[in-house]
Amino acid sequence: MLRTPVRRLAVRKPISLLSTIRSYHSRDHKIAGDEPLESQILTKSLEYVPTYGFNSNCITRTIRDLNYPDSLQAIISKDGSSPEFKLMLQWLIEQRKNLEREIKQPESEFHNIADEYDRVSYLIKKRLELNEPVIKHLTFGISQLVIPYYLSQSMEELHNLSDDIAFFAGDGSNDFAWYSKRMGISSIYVSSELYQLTDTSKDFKNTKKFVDDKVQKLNNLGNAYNSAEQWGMFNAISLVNLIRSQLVRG
Amino acid sequence: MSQLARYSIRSRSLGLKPLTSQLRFNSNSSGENTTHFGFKTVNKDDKEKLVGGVFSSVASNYDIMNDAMSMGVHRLWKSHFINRLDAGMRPGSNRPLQFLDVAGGTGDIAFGLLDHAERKFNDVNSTMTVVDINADMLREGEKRYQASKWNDGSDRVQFLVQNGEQLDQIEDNSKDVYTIAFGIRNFTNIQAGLNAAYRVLKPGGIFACLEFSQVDNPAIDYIYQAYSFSILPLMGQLIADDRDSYQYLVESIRKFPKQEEFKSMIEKAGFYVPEKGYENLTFGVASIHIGVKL
Repeated sequence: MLRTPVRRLAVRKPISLLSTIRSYHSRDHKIAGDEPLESQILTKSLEYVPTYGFNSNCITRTIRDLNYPDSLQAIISKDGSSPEFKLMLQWLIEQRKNLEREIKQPESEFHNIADEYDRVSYLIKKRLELNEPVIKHLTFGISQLVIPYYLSQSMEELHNLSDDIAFFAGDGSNDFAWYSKRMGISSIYVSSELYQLTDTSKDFKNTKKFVDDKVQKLNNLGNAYNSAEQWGMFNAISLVNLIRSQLVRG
Repeated sequence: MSQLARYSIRSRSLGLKPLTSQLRFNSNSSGENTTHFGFKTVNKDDKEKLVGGVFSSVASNYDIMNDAMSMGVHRLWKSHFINRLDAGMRPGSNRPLQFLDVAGGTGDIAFGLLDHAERKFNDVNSTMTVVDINADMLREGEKRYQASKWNDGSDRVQFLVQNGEQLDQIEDNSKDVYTIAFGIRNFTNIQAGLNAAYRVLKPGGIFACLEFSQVDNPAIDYIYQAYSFSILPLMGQLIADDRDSYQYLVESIRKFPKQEEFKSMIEKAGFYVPEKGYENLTFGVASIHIGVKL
């Protein structure tokens, strides 16, 4: 008798679907934008971005290059987000993949860096370097990301980036530091990117220094947090012991 | 005397015959050669005729009824559908699009698509073929076409009486965009209709369908069902003096496959269905399905 309701529950698809996808398990961590046709067209369109900017023109040209009719754009516009935003998001996803490819090269100097925070700083700088070919169009692209309607998708991609950076840097935190580190990395990335937009120094030297400073501050903050935590713990235990000793005395 | 009563007198004077006599025919048959006509089971050979009867009898009041029944929302759905497709020849191209609007009857979607293409992309070269199985509905569309700005002697719009399951006058690989709005539900064999769509589209062509669908949320569905089964046939009776046709409409909506099922039928016809595959409108009362022939 007991089995029936249990089995029925298992058959109900939406619930079981929701409960089985755990994006923090690596096997469920979906590489975004990997659906076949739409993302292929978008990825191909990125080649035109340095010339035309984040503009539907890039998609039109790609579709024409592929010898498909113009009407194929419907598969980009079908869910209601603008082609400009779609391109920008795809661009972010591609650069995130490029960053991964870059550090997986055996000859990458990344492997010689031991310290976690130096690695973070290296990764952010590498990622910002990937912005250089499209830097003059980037202001427009970023403005697409902050349109309220698209904000959740943009934030998700930002989180994916900081998550990747923290992972590659060798983050082993298993408490609230997990969150604070990712939030710290995200905010450093966003502020450095905004700094980069107005940076006129050669090879974005100032931006790189800016990143180093910010990451150093994050490190200091982390140390300060850990010290404060230790100090707090020590005092709490002392207090307990003090009370106990007083009680034993009667 | 009310406006409503005047409408009913007018439609009666047009000589529209009630459908009941046709419906009673064959309602008990069963087996392989049958299909559903609303909640009734009829011979496959007869469904086409019966649906023809419904649309011949509603043709003249079609828009008034749609507005009344959906409270005007069908216009929003249609314009949303057109915007989603965002079709049109982009500036700088030399390859005009060939549109095909199936079950296009009154031409709403056809003119809407052409208008969108011209307004947004300055496209005045793409051509439109409107087909419908029902000559009466098509005549309504042609009447509107005569009065519209598209009737400029350029022959961009063409009207054809065609069965959507065969499309025998439309060549293979000849169209870029296939649209069907609130039509595929009435096909005797929906899969055959999808297969025909696949056949006539060029590689890279888009199949787009706007159709009534099923509401997911049970509470909203309850209200929706109550509205459609008790009020719509009554409105049909009062406004168009034709209860049976509107009874058929609501029953056929209920019988139409659910979103996921219809999506897999589109895939079965050979189309590539992009992520998610459909978009629900107004809680799923209607939905937009898209497929691409690769």
